[in-house]
Amino acid sequence: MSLTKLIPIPAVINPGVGPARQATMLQLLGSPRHTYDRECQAVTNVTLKPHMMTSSVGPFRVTGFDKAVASLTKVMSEISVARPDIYESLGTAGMLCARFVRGSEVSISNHSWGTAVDLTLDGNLDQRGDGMCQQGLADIAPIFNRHGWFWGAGFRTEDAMHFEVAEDTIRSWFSGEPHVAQILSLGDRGPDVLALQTKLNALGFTLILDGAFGRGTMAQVMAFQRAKGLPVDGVVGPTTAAALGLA
Amino acid sequence: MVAAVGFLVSPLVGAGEMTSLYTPLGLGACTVPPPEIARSYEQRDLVVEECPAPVPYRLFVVSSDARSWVDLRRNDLDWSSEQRVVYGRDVLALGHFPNVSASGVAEWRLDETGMPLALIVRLRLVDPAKDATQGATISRLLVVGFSADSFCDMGLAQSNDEARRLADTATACTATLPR
Repeated sequence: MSLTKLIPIPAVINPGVGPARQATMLQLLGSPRHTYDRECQAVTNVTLKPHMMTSSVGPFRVTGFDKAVASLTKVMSEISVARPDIYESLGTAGMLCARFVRGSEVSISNHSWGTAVDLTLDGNLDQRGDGMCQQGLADIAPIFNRHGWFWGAGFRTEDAMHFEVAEDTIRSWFSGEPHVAQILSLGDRGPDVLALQTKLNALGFTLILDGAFGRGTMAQVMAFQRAKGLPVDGVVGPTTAAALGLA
Repeated sequence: MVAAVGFLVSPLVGAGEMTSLYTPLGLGACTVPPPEIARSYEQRDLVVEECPAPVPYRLFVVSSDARSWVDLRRNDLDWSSEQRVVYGRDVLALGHFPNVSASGVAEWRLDETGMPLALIVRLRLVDPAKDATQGATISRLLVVGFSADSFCDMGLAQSNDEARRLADTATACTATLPR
């Protein structure tokens, strides 16, 4: 049977795994960049960048978040044993692409952290949104699921080419560990940003407590840095965090 | 006729020769299209922006999570370059995550009467042969030709001159784009 034969999306997929939420990614890994464009750009977050690696995962090379690349290598290893025919046909259409979704000022591509991968079979990319998937992708999806990856066929608009590290898997990587995101900057969201805004307001600033590090928060961080004689960059690194009493 | 407001037209180089009209694709120039158009994309979890185009054409830049392409409308008929840009095997072999260059312009090739005969748009892709942590990209120019009843894939070019040669050569038409 052809691996690229199109079949309906199976009725039961992704048992026990769900897609990673953007808020979770921002909270646990931080914003990959200070600013985004509509094209793919490199990760510049100084805490996240050292975790980006380029490596062969077996049938192809990827660039992505180190834990995701390691996990993908294990997935491919299992596929090579269980389905060597599929393994030989696999290729990638990319893993890392830090950008805004064009037309949006808030939605960051879920490839921005290098924790998602798009796959090809025999050089063919599965058509997104047609309600069908390549047979070979359906065959290997359970292997991805067992390793804590979510198959994009389960999105509201199916995207069967797409596999990403699942929400709970991301969380498990950081449970009991300090967050990778120890720097707060423009674009970050989450409780750490809310704590920053609360602290700034306690010092007399007037920020809306929304947990979003927008331009207003950045401007007031810069004002705080200027008042304290710190380097004025609008980024809350260890020195600024200590000066704010957040460290 | 060409709506010339805000557009740049290259000087005429001689009677009967093709000229170029440049329209912006940047942030400030492209806007959210009317709701009935935007909704049709939203239903597929796509985001669309409408960018300036010469009459009677309308130019849309459509974006999925990590890829973007152009759609065209003329007299209420739609054509999409999605299949060409996202799923084309030559594009897939070239690089990852093709996107319409946000900083560039669209180049429209016009005949001597000012009617558009082709569109040239720059695509950028992540270069898989290089260390992607550095953000290395590959650039290609997508050339779309216009005929009375269809739009046509005229190929990918590496330089502006090559793209214009493709655009100006009717025989370069290799495949009609799907509606």
